[in-house]
Amino acid sequence: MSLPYRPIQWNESKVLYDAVIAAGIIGYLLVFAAVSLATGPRPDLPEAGALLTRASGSLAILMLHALLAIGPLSRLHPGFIVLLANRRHLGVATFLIAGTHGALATVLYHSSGAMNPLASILIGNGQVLSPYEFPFEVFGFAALLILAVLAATSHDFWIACLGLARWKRLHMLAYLAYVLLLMHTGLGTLQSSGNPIRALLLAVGAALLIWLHWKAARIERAKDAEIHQTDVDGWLRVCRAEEIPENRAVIVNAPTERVAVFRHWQGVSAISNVCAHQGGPLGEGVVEAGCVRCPWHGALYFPHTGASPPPYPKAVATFNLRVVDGVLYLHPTPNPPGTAVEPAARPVRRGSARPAATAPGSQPASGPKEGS
Amino acid sequence: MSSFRLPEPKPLTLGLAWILLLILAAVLLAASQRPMGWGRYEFNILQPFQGRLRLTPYPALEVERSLFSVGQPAVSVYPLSSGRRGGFVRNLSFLDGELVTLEARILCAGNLTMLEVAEDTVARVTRTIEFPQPEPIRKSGEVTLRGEIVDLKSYLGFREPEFGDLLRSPAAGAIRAGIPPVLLVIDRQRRRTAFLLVARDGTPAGDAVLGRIATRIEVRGELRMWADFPVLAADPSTYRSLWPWE
Repeated sequence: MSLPYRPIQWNESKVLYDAVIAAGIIGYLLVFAAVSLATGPRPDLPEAGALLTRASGSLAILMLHALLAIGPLSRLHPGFIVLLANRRHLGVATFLIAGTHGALATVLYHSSGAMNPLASILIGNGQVLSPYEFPFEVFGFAALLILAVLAATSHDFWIACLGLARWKRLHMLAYLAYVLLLMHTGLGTLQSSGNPIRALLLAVGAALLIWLHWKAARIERAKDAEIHQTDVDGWLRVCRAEEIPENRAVIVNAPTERVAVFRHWQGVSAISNVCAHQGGPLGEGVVEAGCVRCPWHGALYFPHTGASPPPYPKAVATFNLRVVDGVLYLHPTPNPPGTAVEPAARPVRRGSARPAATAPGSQPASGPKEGS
Repeated sequence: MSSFRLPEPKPLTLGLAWILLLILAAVLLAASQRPMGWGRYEFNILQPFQGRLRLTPYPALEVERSLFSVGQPAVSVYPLSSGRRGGFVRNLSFLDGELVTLEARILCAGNLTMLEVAEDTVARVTRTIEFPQPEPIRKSGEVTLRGEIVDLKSYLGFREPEFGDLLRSPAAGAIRAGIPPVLLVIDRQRRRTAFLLVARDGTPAGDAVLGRIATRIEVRGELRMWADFPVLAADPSTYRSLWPWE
């Protein structure tokens, strides 16, 4: 069965995002060239190819730092989620700049010899025992291959093809590419006359990335450690319905996953916290026009069914809720994605004596009694 | 939950921060980098040359100088190579000492020139022409010099040793492949002189120089002149590494 491929659906935010990326790239290259020419010790123009090789190489690794920082930054403050929405564009741009560097370096340093240029990169230098002679180009080549694969699969088509979990695992290779590039740049710096600024920037960048990831991991671990009281039937205590902000959610740690409990105009509904698109935290989104909107890329889901509005086929699991003494309880077993569940704690209509409904499929209460 | 909280970022702020941080990084990295090389690789211009082929101590072409005064050498020595990592093809030993024609690209920097020979263009000159006799390597006396070992092609090219970013790995590969090692000496007036490195017996310096590439060393040896090309003959085991303050 084939999957449909849709090209990039350009919109204003994507255009603006790409324009900012491009402005940064162009600004970097121009300033690098200008400063290089201005600070050279002699009036001869430097070799343009070598200049562009240096500029593109340094720019690529800076861009990779920014790329890897976006994820943890988004965990540390939701305001950074705006960087996450089109992060794949930054990833592809990073690959293009890194590819430019790789192509130029291959042409300049490996193409006019007796060996095939690729062979020259991979096996031309067999001195692996000394850091001063180690073929550091091999690390750069391997990193570029990884970035090429990631750039090529940066599309929803591949998420559908591979499945979200497998696609996510594939894109974790970005960290391997980063380590390889650290080795490539570090060994290159060691083998040259040494540029302390370059080494310092690398060290600061790596330390910053590690710190951001550690901070984000601490926050997530703290969330995972939150324990929700259960009743004798195993339902998890959530909170009182009125404690949930209107059109927002609280996130509950169920045994197997986090659950987002939304309060919306029809009552309270619980769906999986994991967006079916790219795993975004639905519980950090808002309800707009009757749909939960994922904060990462804007995927929409009906809160009472977990299904996306047509024509989108995605759906997330729903969970049963019940209200006991005004307190919401969540059943930890998920329903299949797209299963309709009557909202709990329905708002009472004006002039009606009908109380708020309870969730269907409630277990016979052997603990706290409903409505008592 | 951790109480750590980043400040509220605004999209405009993030966009400007991205551009400004990149520009700042460009300034820092460009200002702190080693200067570019000052040589020229005329990759696309293949020119014909005629001269005497010499394969020892390193492959070179002795080309007759069009203008020279009494007391000056009659030829200029142009070291030869045949590719970025390839040294000159040594299976032309039957042409050693013969007058040949070849086609090559010029690699030059300052007053030093190297020729990158195009494949299969070396041919013996069959007609009788007048040409200066083979130039002997003349001895000039003992000297002690401080500098950096580089492969001649990198020195002439876009990676500038000592002030540039000569990469040891490709440079060692080039020397192994036959590109001559030179000791690059830069005096206080920033004038550069490249001394072709040979052993005391006049043979190539060999793999012993590989561990010293792109490091500052002191060499005591005998200065010799191969036409207009200075040669330093020294035992590689006597090279002395210099401390940073020397």
